[in-house]
Amino acid sequence: MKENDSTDFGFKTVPKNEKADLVAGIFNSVADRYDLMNDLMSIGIHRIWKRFAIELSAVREGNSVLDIAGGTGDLAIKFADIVGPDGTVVLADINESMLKVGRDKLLDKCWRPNIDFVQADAQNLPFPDATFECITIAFGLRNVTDKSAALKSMYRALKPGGRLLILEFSKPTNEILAKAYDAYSFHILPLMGKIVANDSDSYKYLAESIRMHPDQEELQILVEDAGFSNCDYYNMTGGIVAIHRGIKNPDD
Amino acid sequence: MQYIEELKIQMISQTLQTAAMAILEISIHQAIKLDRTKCSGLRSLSGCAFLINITEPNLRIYLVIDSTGQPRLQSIYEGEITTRVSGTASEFFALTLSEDPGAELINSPLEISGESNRLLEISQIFKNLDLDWEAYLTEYLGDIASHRIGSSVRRVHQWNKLTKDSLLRQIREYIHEEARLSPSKLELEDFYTDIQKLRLAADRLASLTKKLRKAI
Repeated sequence: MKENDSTDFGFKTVPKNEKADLVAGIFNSVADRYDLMNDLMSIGIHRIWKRFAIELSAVREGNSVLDIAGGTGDLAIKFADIVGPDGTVVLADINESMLKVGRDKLLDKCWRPNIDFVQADAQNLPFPDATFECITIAFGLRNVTDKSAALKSMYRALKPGGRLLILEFSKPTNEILAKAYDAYSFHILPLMGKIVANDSDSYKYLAESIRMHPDQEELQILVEDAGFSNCDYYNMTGGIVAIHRGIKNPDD
Repeated sequence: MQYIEELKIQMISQTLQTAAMAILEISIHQAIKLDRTKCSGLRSLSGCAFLINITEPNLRIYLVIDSTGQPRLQSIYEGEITTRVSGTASEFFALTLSEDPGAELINSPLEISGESNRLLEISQIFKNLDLDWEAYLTEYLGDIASHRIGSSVRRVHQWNKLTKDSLLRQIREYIHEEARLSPSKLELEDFYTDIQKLRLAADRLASLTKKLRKAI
């Protein structure tokens, strides 16, 4: 297998054309208990990370927002309240099961009329150029096969001056925290997955995919290479999570 | 040791600040729910953004009123600021304890810039929140139970207030009358009046002496 034809799937190397199906298999398996597992795994801290991402988005009333890998709609619901009736939020996810869980959650518990649902691949976003003021992808980029292609696709779909926000697991900046985090990820997380979701492999993949994902600096370079300017990032909880931000050049 | 210090700083930074704001925001929303009459007042402030800039310790909080009149607390805000208030944590704390936050805002050392009338409006709304806890409890416990709990809480509150007032009065009496550790307010006023009289008398004497000298 040539290097260009292969990619990582956790610690394994797989052909590029197989990764999407393998990731889909993981999310089909965890979709039903996704929210519960998120709360358990992060002790609810994922809500704080998402809240800060929303603050960084600077989204205003009337804006159009695309939430890629939006899954169960945590960010989309908050954005829908901020943009109000004159704005639009598009919740996009490549995975049908996740999208279905998200749509059911919104229909049953917290319906917002300004949210649209789209099944879409981040690498080939099905939207015209310059559609959105803000694009977010929370805990989704590491599962994308070709991250550069996805970032370029996001750049295209953003309006000039629009903002990209990537909320993703990253590299702890402290050695003690890194060791504790490794122990937690590789021992406790799969066990938790087995007990709650009866699926330890998916949570083993989660831990492995986080380690294979570019760290803060590497991801910033990828974002810059996609054309974004004014790129920066914020470490949250000692770098366990980082929020990267980039602006589409106003002249593009 | 250095790692542990770094770790502490990183852990308490953004995540904790965002968490604290989330908790405070939820509390404000709950309080507003208990006094729905105040919601319309907040709606008139929609689009306003207030920057609370605490200088010691260094902390910036943005209070943004969204289009539905709901207040949101943020640590980052890039829109236009309606009013900025700067001061130390103790100055802001004194403001929260004040009976009249409007007067306190104007007279305190807090620095205000921007539309101060908007700031006074929001401070009055928060100060005048009349929380109907009994109605809130009724939703979960029913009329009778919530009324009994409400009455008990009011009785305890009343007893606390009376006990506190009585205790303060007795301590004051002991300090002024029994132990004579400090003069009472009336004694102080008499003392200041006597000083004032003495000063006037001294002035008159000085003026008289001056006149006599000239005459001699």
